[in-house]
Amino acid sequence: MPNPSLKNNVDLLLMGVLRSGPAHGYAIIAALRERSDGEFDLAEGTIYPALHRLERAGVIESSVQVAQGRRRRTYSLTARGRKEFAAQRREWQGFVTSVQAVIA
Amino acid sequence: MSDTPIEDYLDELLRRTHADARSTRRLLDEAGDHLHAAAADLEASGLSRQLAEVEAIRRFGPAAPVALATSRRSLVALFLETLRAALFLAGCGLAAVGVSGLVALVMNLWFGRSFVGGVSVVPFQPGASVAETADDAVVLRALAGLVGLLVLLAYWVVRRRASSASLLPAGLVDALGAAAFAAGTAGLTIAAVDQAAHGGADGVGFPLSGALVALPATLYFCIRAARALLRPVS
Repeated sequence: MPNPSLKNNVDLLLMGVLRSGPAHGYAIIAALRERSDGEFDLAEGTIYPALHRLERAGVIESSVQVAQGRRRRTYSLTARGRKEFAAQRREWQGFVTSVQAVIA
Repeated sequence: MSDTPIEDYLDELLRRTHADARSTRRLLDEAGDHLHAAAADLEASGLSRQLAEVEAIRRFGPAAPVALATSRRSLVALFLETLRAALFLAGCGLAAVGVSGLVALVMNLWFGRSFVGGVSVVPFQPGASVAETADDAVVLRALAGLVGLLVLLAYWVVRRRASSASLLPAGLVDALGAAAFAAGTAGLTIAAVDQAAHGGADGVGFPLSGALVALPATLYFCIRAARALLRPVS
């Protein structure tokens, strides 16, 4: 099921996946689906413009790897990206705590 | 149903993406890699190749939003590149005016002030004396040239910070520069001929000094445009 709040938090989710280590686009989507138990049904193609935007912002970086004769662009979090992820995660957790306090 | 759904999808993505060459190529590379990997996984799970490709495309999503998200940033980049190009052409134009001031100075010294200052229609200062017109043609143009050099300096600084990926077609800016200077050459030459027809040698130097600078500038931009168009794609 498409999640309406997902679109607004794509950056945080992408950084969250890349925190575990470098990955290419297809692996990022697979990790997102796996870690959310299939809840995050994102149109897979939309992550590429998001990844390119994050790279321009210096949050992630990419390099081309050749595996089994295929060129694949792999993304990884930069030092700045780790700080950005920590800050966004704190913000998100604060928001969730506040919402929980209200609806509990 | 198409025999090659992924190829068709990539064609559509290419048609819809209005970005610079590098961004477009990178998006297509990654989309193709993603779709083929997804289709291979789906095929391994038991789907036929064709159905696996269709399902991989469905999961990838429609081409339009992906292309739009890539193009959106490029429209901003296009605007900035156009602005940089305008800065370059304006700087070159003003610098050329400055050089024409130096040519006017040489004309004043060699042929006397009436050759430049005796023009029948003086822009901006109707009623000015021949000497004033001759001197202003030097001083005001030299000032414009200094402004042009500052504009070119600003362009150089901005260009150093800009991405090397170009959105504007190769040779377009140079072709525009060539066209502008060619128009200037033609207009100033006609004005010089007209002045000669009405006032003899007096005042001919006023437009002629501009035409003498605009002509080599036209040739310079023509050569730049030709080089850009003939340069092999790396």
